[in-house]
Amino acid sequence: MKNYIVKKERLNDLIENLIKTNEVIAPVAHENFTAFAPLSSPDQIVWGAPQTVIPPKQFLYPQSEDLLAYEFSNDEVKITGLNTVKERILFGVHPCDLNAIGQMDRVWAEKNIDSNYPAKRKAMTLVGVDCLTPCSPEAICLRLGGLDPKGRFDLFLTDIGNSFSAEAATPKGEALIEGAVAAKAADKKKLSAVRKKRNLIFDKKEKKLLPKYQDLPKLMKANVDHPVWEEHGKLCYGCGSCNMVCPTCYCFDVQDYMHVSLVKGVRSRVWDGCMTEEFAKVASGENFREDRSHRLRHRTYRKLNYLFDKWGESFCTGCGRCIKACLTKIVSPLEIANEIYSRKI
Amino acid sequence: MSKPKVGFFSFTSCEGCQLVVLSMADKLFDLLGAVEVVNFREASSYKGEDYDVAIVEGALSTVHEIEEIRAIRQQAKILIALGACAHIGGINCIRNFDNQFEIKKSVYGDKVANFDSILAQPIDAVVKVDYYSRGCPPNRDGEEFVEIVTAILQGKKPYIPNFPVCVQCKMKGNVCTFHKERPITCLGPVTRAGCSAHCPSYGNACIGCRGLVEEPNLNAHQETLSGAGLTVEESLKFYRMLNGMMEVGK
Repeated sequence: MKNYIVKKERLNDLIENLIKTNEVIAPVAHENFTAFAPLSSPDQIVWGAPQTVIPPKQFLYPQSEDLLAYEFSNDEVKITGLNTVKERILFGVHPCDLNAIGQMDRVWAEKNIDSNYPAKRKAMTLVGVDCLTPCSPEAICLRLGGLDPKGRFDLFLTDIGNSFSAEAATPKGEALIEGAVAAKAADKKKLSAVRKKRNLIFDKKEKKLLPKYQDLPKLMKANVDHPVWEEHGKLCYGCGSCNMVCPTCYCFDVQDYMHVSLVKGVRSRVWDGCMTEEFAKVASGENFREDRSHRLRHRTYRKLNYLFDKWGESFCTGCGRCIKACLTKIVSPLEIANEIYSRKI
Repeated sequence: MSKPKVGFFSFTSCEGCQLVVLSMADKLFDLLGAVEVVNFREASSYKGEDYDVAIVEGALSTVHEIEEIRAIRQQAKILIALGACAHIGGINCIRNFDNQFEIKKSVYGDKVANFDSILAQPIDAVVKVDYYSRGCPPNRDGEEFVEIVTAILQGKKPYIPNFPVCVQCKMKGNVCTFHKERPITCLGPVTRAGCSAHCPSYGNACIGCRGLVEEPNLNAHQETLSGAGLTVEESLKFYRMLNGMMEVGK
């Protein structure tokens, strides 16, 4: 890790320069929320609150992505692989989303590796920004390990007054910041003071997690039949909002779009969600998770149990988007864990 | 394989669904390369009766229309309901919840006895419908309609999502209508997706033109709507704008 100190106005100049030659994407105002969008000026960036409606996963595995094109001619099928890759710099990514991208890097590289995600990921430069106060009332990042980015960035900025402290974890990050300033010994004292204060604020403002973080998988496993699933499930729309806005929901559906001439078509990968009715429905009509309560349990288990066990960390990074998006307020992994913990069966 | 012969028919409606098909530009020519149109009042005065596929828009609201749709069903091997009126009865069904005599009198005055107008109903209240092209008008500029025709030509089931509009609304990154600075009430959480959340993407509420999903959570929705300040009466009115028949999942 290399350290830098960069004056705020120098950072602005740097972003301004980057915009000239790169696609720079950052959170910009979007009604009363924010959204990741290409910048035309550094002034558009909304530092800190509030959270974007959807996470930056859209730039790594888009909502709908054409994977291949096919064409039939004389009993032959011509297949062309498709992948739109663009060099992109993501600026102002919160630690919860950095952690989520770090987790996605692991799952997408595990097996059945496709060429689309890695190529898009390689073309992406990640510049994170430290959160000094919770970005929304729904944030639970401190509780679920999402507030510390754990080096999952190229460059990471922390506001330390009239300057940013910048940590570079990769040569890409170093190259980027060295366009503005030279490496410098970090003002470790100042940085740790800022973070200490930050942690106190988060601890005061964020909802408490009652069980111990490390015990979450065990707690989930022991409560397959807890009434919380049924009670919350009753109020579930099966609308998949929680899936769509989740930075670590990565399930997809594959659709063929045949042209009406029946000689050519496109195969696309589209975001899917385990909370929707047909996610676990198979060709015979059998639905493995017909009940909304089962689907809610499945989603929560993915975050706090199955993937936690497999990769050693919670796959809810605490961004709070699902808690905001859910109209009936049933989906918060933290609240579910708390309810289970405090209502023993 | 010879091209299937297609007839377009229109019942009680604004005929906007036929216009959507006509305004598909290049996609219309692709479509005409795959099928032969023998009956299409909005486009041609020629009227062939030898169609295999009937594409029907509009709701049924007269005795005469009921006789007509029965005759069409007898001729057609495949019947496609085009648009919300044909699919769920649509806006026509608003009248069903008022005094029928008063309604007829207000429209036809003292000539009311000359009209055989009856309660409005969707096509499948009278005859079997094989496929539905949903929406008011059919969504994504008719693209889904072409996908349905393509699937039929391939001999496979068309893919129609059975999840709520919220899925596609979130994909678009829209701020939820209920979470705006000035919240608006929305039927998205119970309405079948497939429109790419067209209305919420332009700052409006979903009004449910694609009909309800197979298992809408109406209790949850009532809670959401009353939380947003709607009375039960107002919520019902909201549903009845297009979903007066309240048939789920078709």
